[in-house]
Amino acid sequence: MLFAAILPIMASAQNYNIGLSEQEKEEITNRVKQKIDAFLQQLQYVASKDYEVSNEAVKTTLALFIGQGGAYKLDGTWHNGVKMQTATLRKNRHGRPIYNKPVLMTRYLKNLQGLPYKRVTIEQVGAVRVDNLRRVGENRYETMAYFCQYFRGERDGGYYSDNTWKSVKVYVERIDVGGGMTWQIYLGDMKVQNITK
Amino acid sequence: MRMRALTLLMMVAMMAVQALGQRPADLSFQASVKSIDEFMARFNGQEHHLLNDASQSGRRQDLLRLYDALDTTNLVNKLAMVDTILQRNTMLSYNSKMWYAEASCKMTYHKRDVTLSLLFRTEQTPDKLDHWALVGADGLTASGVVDISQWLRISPTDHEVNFMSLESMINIDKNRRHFAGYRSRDIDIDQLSAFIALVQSGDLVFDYCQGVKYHFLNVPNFIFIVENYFRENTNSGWLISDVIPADRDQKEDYLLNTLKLKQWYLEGNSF
Repeated sequence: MLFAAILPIMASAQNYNIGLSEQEKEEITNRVKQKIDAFLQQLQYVASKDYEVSNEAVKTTLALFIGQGGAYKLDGTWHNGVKMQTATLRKNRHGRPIYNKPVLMTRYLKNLQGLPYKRVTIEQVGAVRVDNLRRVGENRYETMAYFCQYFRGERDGGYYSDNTWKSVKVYVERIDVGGGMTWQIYLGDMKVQNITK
Repeated sequence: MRMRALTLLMMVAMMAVQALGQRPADLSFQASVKSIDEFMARFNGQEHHLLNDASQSGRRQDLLRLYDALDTTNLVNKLAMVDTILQRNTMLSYNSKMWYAEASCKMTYHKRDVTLSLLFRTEQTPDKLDHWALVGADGLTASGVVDISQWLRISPTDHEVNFMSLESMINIDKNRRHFAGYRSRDIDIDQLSAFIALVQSGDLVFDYCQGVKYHFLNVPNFIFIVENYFRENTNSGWLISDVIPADRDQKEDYLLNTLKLKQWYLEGNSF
C-alpha cells in the first residue's frame, strides 16, 4: 500500500485578531495538516480487504471527527453526524461528473469497505491550504482546510482513478491537560470542490 | 480604455492557452481559488495567483485573474471595476456587512420537490463571535408553497359571530392551501417569516444545497457576483461571474428587488 507523503502547508496570509499568537496559529495549522494526513492514511486501511484491519481502521478514522462520527451537539444545534460528499468522473446525462449528495461519514466508510476493487490507493496530492481561524467560543475556533486526494481502484482488466479536491471543516479547542494547555483538533463535514482525471 | 480592454483580452487568451495545456492536478489545485477566504485574500493583494508577484501590477493581474476567463462579455465594466478597486484601494473583509451568500436549496414540501433560495449575511455576537445569519428567503410564492394565486374574502358579517369562519378557513384542507388569499391586499407575504414557520412546523424538509453564490456590494459604483467554476486549469474555483454598475440607489434597489430584503433591513447600511 502507498501512504500519503508529508507535504508543505499553504496558510492564509491574512491576519485576524482572534487572541492567538502567530506561533499558536502555526501550531494549529500543522496539527490540522497532520489530521488530514492521518485521515487519508486510514482510508487506505478502510479499503483493505482484510476484514479485521478494515474494521479497526473505521474506528480510528471516526475518532478523527467531531462526535467520533456520531451525533453531536454544537452551539445549540444537534447534528446527525459528520457528513461526507463524494463525486465520480462517470458522467451524468449532461456529460458532466456526478457530485453525490452528502452522506453520513459512517455510511461513506461502509461504502468504501464494499468497493469492488482488489487494490485501492489513496494519496494526498499537493499542499494543504488552511483558511483563517474564526473564534466561535471561549477557547474554541473553526476553520476550513482544502486538500487534493488521488484515488485509484484496480481490479482485473482495468482501473478507475480520479483527483478530488476536498474542503473540510475543522474544529479547534484549547484544553487543559494536567496543568498544560494543548489543542484538540477534530475534522468535520467534507465537501467535494472539484473532481478531475 | 481600448488598450486596457485589449490587454484583458490578451490575458484571457493566455489563460485559455494554459487551459488547453496539460496541467498537473496539484498545480491546478494551487492556482484554483479554493475558498471565499482565499478569494478575499487575493482580492486584497494579500495572496497572489501562483503566476503573479506582489507588485502593484501584480494586484491588477490578481484582480483580473479573479474573473471567469472564459466569459469575455462586459469587458468595459470588468476593467472599470478593477480601476476603481485600485484607485480606492477597496478591500474585502469577512465581517463586512456588504456581502451576501445566496444558497439554492432543494427541499420537500408535503412530498413535493421545491427549490428555494436562502440569503445569509455574516454577523458578530456582542462578544465578537463570527457567524452567518439568515436574512432572506425566496421562491416560496413562485413554487406555490405559499399560494398567492387568488384573493379571498372573509364575510363582511363574520365579526358578528366572532369570526366563526376561521375554523373552516384554517382547518379545511382545500381552504388552508389558499389561506394567504385572505390577507389584506396592502400586505406582502414576508417569505422569510413564512419559511421559518414552515420549517418549525415540519412542513418544509431540507434535502440538499445545490450551490451557493455570493453578492458583493463593497466596490463603489459596482456590484459583483462570485460563483464556483469546477474546471481543471489555472482559472478555476471561486471567480467573479458578473459585474453590474450600480450607484447607491441602484444598490438599494438590488437589495430590495433582487435579493428580496426588507426595507427596514436597509436602515443603517451605507454604500
